[in-house]
Amino acid sequence: MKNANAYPNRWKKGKPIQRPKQHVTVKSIFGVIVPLVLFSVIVSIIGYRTFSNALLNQYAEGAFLTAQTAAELVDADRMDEYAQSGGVTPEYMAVWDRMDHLCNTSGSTFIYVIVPDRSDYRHITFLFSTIDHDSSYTKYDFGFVRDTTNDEYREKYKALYDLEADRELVIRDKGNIETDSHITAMIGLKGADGQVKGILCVQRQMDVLAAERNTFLNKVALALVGLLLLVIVGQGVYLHRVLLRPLNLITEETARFSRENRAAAHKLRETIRNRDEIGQLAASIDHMEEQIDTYITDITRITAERERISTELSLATRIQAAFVPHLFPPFPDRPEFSLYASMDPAKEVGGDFYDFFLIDEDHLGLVMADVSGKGVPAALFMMASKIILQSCAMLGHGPAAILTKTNEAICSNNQEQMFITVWLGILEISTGKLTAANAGHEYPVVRKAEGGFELFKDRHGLVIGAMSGVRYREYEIQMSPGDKIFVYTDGVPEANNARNELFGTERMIAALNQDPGAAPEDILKNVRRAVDGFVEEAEQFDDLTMLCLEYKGVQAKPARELTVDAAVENIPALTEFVEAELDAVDCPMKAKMQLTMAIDEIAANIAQYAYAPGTGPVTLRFAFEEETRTVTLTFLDKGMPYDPLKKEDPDVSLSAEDRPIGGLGIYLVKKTMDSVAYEYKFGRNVLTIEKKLS
Amino acid sequence: MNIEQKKDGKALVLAPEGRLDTMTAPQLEAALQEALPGVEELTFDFEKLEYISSAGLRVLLSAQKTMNKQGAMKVIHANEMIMEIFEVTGFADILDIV
Repeated sequence: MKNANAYPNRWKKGKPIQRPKQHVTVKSIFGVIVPLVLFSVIVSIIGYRTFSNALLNQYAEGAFLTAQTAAELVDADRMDEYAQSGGVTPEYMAVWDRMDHLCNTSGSTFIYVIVPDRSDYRHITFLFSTIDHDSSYTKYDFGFVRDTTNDEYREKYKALYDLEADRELVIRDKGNIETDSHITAMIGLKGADGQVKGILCVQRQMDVLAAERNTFLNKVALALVGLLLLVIVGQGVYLHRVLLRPLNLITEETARFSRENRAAAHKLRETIRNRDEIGQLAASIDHMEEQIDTYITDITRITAERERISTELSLATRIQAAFVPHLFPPFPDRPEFSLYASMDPAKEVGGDFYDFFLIDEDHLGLVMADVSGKGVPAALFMMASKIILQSCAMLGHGPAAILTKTNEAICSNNQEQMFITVWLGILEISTGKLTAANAGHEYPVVRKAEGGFELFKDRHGLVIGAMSGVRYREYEIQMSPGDKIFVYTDGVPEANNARNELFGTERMIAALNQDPGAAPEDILKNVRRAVDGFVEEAEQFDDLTMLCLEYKGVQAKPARELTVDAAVENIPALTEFVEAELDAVDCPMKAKMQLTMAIDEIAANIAQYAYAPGTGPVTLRFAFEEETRTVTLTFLDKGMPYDPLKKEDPDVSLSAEDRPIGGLGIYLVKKTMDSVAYEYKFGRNVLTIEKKLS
Repeated sequence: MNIEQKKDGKALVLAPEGRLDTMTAPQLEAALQEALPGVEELTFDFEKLEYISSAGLRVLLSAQKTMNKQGAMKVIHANEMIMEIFEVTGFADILDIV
């Protein structure tokens, strides 16, 4: 019985789990971070723009406010007067002083009043010009004329003069500028007639603005980085707890399971309490492990069971095969008849059988039978039937009585309604009278004298096992020396070929008549060959069982034998009888000596032990096979069963002192004869020795 | 069976004739029992012996055991068949065969 773990070898070796090269956590964090960064950058840019614009507007408003205040200082209707003052009149000076004060207290860099050349605004004339004393600028002198800086200024001057706008703003923070970035707020100075008489400009440096913007940017960047770190750590921890740790547990568990093939002591669900898909996965794996565990146990058990059944089946086949006599020739010491039988089951075990046995010295029982059905049930039924038939036969009744008794015995316990067809014959060896009865079996085939085999249409009785109370009838066939009888089961005439044709009785008889004079063994071989040739490719469907008996008659070759009382004094009589026979076949001196010695050893044994303390007969049978020049001596005694061959050979290497006295006799026989065989048959010890005469 | 005996002081020569088997071995055994006491040199002359069976071997073995105590024993003129039996049974190693 194999143990539960040994069987499914291919499940045994789980692939080692490799550490993943990429981690889910890292992946999912990246999945969060990248959009987050993108989002942050977009938000920052929008925020920066908005903040920047708001700041600039505020800054510009401040400049305009200063410009408004400064404009109050200047009287637009008196612009001409200012222009002609030469910049030295007290009135002008008063205005300049206050403007200068305003410039230094309002955070402006430059406050000035200009009158552009109205023809094309390409030149401007400075009327007032004040600067922040802390700045690096120098003021323009009164009446200083310079080129307009660029077209933007020009257009805006023109817009103010044309009254298209009350105020204009120029931002100079990029491009090729000669000074630091700055804004210039300009408003038109309107006279009482509503016309613009000059332009008042306030310039503020943008460095404060830039500083503010930088601070904003720094703060935003800092906040972003902080947020990112927070998200990375938070997401990492969260993912590790809810995703990675359970996943790792599941991976380890599946690896362990594939290695050990045993469900875990602790379920995954005990440690993974997620109520999400991971939790479901863990529960599924727990369930799967249990199922596989059960499955493995089941399949191991089933496999062991199947192996056991298969072993038992083949054992059954062997027992069945051994149960019918299968040693041929079966009765070498009976020259009156020759017998051969064969059985080839279609399946592992079948229901056909033959049987033969000596009922007594003068009666040979022959059985050919076929159990309905196949397989183990048929085999079991066959075993029971064979035993019952032989037991009934041994009681010494005729075939009809045997079949009747067997039928009664089987019917009394035949709940499965199985039945068996039987042909039973009993040969009286001394006279050649064959008495037979047929219980639903195939017709026997008989060969008379020098003729051919012919179907013998005997009377059929009902099959055995069908119903009780059936009476069978028997008939006689007188066998003469050379006559043969062939019996078989339906597997022979009903053998099928690929074209679904039956072998048939005619073909069978033709096969028997190929060489009707052949020995029984060759007769069966002829039939078998004919069936095989006919069936060709088709699978053997039914059992093939055959038996052939040749009656040779008592006068054929009576064995030469001598029966004496088993006593040491009678040994010379036995040796002399054999010596005379040996002389007749021209036996060499040495073989004769060895045979004589063998007789001495065996006969002495029988005389001393077989009937001790009483006495009884011993028979020595002599036979000589011309062809192989083999002498066969058979010793028969009715003493207590004893197999001398079972005795262990003596140790021939011991010294004289250690040698036990005796035990050498049978050893010497074994050493000098070609074969020595023992059996206990019909209440007799039968010891047969063979010696080939060179 | 005829057993020829020659005794010369403490030397004894025994020459059995024919077959030394179950029937005849007891005769040799009886002859030995009678003649062996005092013998220091025992010789079996098998020149006229046809063959020897296990019963004969028994007698030889028992004689060898006795002679081991009181002297020496040898076998002479054993034929091919007897030699073969000695070889097969290991007696060739026990006996002093000349």
